[in-house]
Amino acid sequence: MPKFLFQFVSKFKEYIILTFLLVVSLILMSLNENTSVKNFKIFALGSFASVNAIVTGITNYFEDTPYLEKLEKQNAKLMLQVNSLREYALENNELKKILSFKSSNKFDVIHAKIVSRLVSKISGYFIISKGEKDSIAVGMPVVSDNGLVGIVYNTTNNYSSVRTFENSMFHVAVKDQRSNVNGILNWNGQYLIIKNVPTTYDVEVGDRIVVSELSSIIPPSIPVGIVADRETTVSGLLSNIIIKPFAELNSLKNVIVLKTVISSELDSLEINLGESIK
Amino acid sequence: MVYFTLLNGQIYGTILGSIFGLLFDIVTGGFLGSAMFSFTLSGFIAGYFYSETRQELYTTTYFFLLIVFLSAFSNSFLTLLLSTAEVKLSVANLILGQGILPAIYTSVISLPILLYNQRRRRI
Repeated sequence: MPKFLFQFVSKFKEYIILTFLLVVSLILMSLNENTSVKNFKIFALGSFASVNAIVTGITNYFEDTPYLEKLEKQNAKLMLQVNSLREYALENNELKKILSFKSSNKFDVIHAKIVSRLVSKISGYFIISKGEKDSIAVGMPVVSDNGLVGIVYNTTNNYSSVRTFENSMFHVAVKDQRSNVNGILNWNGQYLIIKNVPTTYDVEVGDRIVVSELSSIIPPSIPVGIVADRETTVSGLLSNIIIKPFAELNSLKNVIVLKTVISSELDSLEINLGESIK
Repeated sequence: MVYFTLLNGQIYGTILGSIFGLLFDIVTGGFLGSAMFSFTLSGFIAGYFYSETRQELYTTTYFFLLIVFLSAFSNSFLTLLLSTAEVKLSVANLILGQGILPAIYTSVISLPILLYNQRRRRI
């Protein structure tokens, strides 16, 4: 018996090692939600971000960073103001009686640099240069001067990771700014898409899509993108709306984090942070 | 990884792949274990081409690019499948966009290693 075992092991040692390592990786996959694994990932994130920050610092040495930061902050504030004004203009007639409508430009903003774009485009995360020390907390919305970028997913003392809209786990309640049609936006690997909108609903190519009031994590009216196409499903009853985002993730260097307080009444539609908030 | 696997054998490649994959998972903050799984398999696939007698052939000719292509294809394809379960992509997009394209640019990036090996062989 031992001889047979020895022969078996020596004959198939490559396959045994392969199987063992694959099983280890499968076990690791199942442990992703484990608290100690999460803590370890946060620690690794911090360490990796520090190295990346040094590299980014060297590459950005010749840029007039404070001036750029100031301009980008200003841009983001203006973007929020413009969008808020657009919102007022569209809704003015209907909402005259409720002018206490919550303004969306009262946020404090934190400027941050992107220190690492994580390798796979599909994974949809990046690391920014501000963390808990700068009062950044999990769930804060991240925008560029053009529109929504994502939400803060994890934080360490000096860095945070951001889950961008190019992540399949990113879901946000949005609406058509013109017709007020609501939907859930997510990433299908290729496009930002709002699924299963009834074909009778008034959504046209070119409409602006903004964060909806139904969203309890991201403040309403932050611009997301523009309707690029509308695909009707086989049944003919529902459509998938394809959105072209305003923010260009590939060319982003800096982002703005909005210091908002997360509502305690989390909408069940927004499942992005379900695990983190718990 | 492919180069060292071709020099040292399949077991070496499998273990090296799993270590690289684990490191990749850690530094990218992605889905822990997914890159480890795909890198391990890629190392194993590259290890199939290990042969003491053909070592030079595989590391100094265009065979090297082919092996890199196969390993990179399996790696990017599997990583995508494992880490993005919710993403709905067509089969054609999965194979072309997420498998073949990354494999092509990985092969192109590995070209300098091949050219260096060829030059060293001539000397």
